[in-house]
Order: sequence, then C-alpha cells, then structure tokens
Amino acid sequence: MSKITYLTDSWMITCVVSSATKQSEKMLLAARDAGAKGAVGHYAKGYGARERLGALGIAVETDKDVLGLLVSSEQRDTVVEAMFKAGELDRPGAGYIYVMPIERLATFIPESIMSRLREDDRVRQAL
Amino acid sequence: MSGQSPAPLEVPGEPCKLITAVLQDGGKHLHVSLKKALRAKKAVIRANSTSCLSLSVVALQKTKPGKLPQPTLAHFVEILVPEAEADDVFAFVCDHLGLQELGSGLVFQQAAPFCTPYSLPEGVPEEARAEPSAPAA
Repeated sequence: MSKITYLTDSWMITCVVSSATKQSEKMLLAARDAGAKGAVGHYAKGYGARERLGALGIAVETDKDVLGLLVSSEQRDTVVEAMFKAGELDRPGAGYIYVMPIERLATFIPESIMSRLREDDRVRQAL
Repeated sequence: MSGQSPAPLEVPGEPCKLITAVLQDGGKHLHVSLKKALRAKKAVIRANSTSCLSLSVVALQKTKPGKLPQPTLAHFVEILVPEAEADDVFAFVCDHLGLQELGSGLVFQQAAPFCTPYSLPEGVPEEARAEPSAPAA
C-alpha cells in the first residue's frame, strides 16, 4: 500500500437551500472568496413544514440544492458566516447550514504543500 | 426538556464510522469498482453512491470576476463500517482510488454514533449486471 497522509483538522460544512432562488451560486462564490478550495453539490427534494401549507394536505415540494464544503478549522467560521450572509439564511424558509467534524481526510497533497506542512510541524515541535 | 437521560433504544445498533469518497474519475467508474472491491475483499455491504457536481479546487481556476468555474461530474460514495474496521477500510479505499493527481478526489471519515445492522438475504443468486463502459479515448 502507498503512504497516505491524513489531514485531521477539517470540518464539513453542509448547506441546504432552495434551487429556485439561485442562492447556491451566491453562497459558493462567497465561500470561495472566504478561502474554501472546493465544493460538491447535488439536488434534493424538500419536505417538511411546507406539507402544512399545501391544499388538502398535499405536500408542496421544493427543489433543493445541497452543498458540501470541506474546510480547515481556521476557515470554518469565516466560510460559514460568508455563506450565511450571501444566502440570506436569516429569512424564514431560506435554508440552513450545519457543520460536522471530520475525523480524518485523505487527498492528493502536492509536494510543495507537504514540505510546508513538515516545516510547520518542525517549528511547532521546536517551540 | 427534563434532566433525565433518554431511555436506551430498543433497536439493535452499534457505533460506526461513515467513510465518504468524492471521486472525479473522468468516466472510469471507480465508484462501481470500489463497491465491488469492498464487498469482495472487506465484506462491506453498507455502501451506496450517487452522482453530484463538483467544483474542485475552486480558488485555483481562473474565471471571470463573480463567476464560478464550470462544475464537473463526480461520484459520491458513502460507506458505513463498524468502528473496529474503519482504519483498515479507510486505508483500503485510499489505496484502491490512488488519489495521485490534483483534483482526483478525496476520502474522509466521520463518526456515526448509532447505526442499525444490515444483512443480505441468503441463497439469492447474484444478479447479472452489465459492466459500465470505459471512457472514450
């Protein structure tokens, strides 16, 4: 097996917003500007409180965008705040964000970044 | 809200780990081979995959101001394994996928404190499935 470098200081930001309002694009742009390096997104259908709004008890469906972003601890709050504001999630029904810890993360890390991480480790151990 | 701890669940279950892989494999269908390999070599049957759009390393791609780059198709694979097997399965997934290029994907692990068991019915023959076609050169 090849050598794997695990990153442990990461968080998953998940965001569920309405597809119709194109909030997701604004939120992704805000996340990128706040330092997020990548995102995945998929579509979903929402059910919930809106079931009570439909006529004759028939649920009102809404298409949702589900966004997932992996960020470091330092970036977490900045990215969440930027996304919350860009998506105007303080409006009722606009959507929500939740953050979950990642125990470990493996991906390709270029040598330039690896050497910087090793250097940071050396400095931390020396202090 | 009362101060009492909730009654234990009357549902069988155990703490597990959720291993998620996001794959940008350029049509190589790695998600299919990964699920097959997990079942054959690690006896993992709690795995599912779905398609998603991926914006990989967004900050490194040049785009017009205020615009996002074109997203690419990716596959999202979720694997649920008991805590004791998580290290082994995580290493197996990483090794199977390679992850030797920038933007080839990533694998991460989260805690799943309660998961119900899952088993497959016995004596049912494997269904025949067509292999996904290889990407055009």
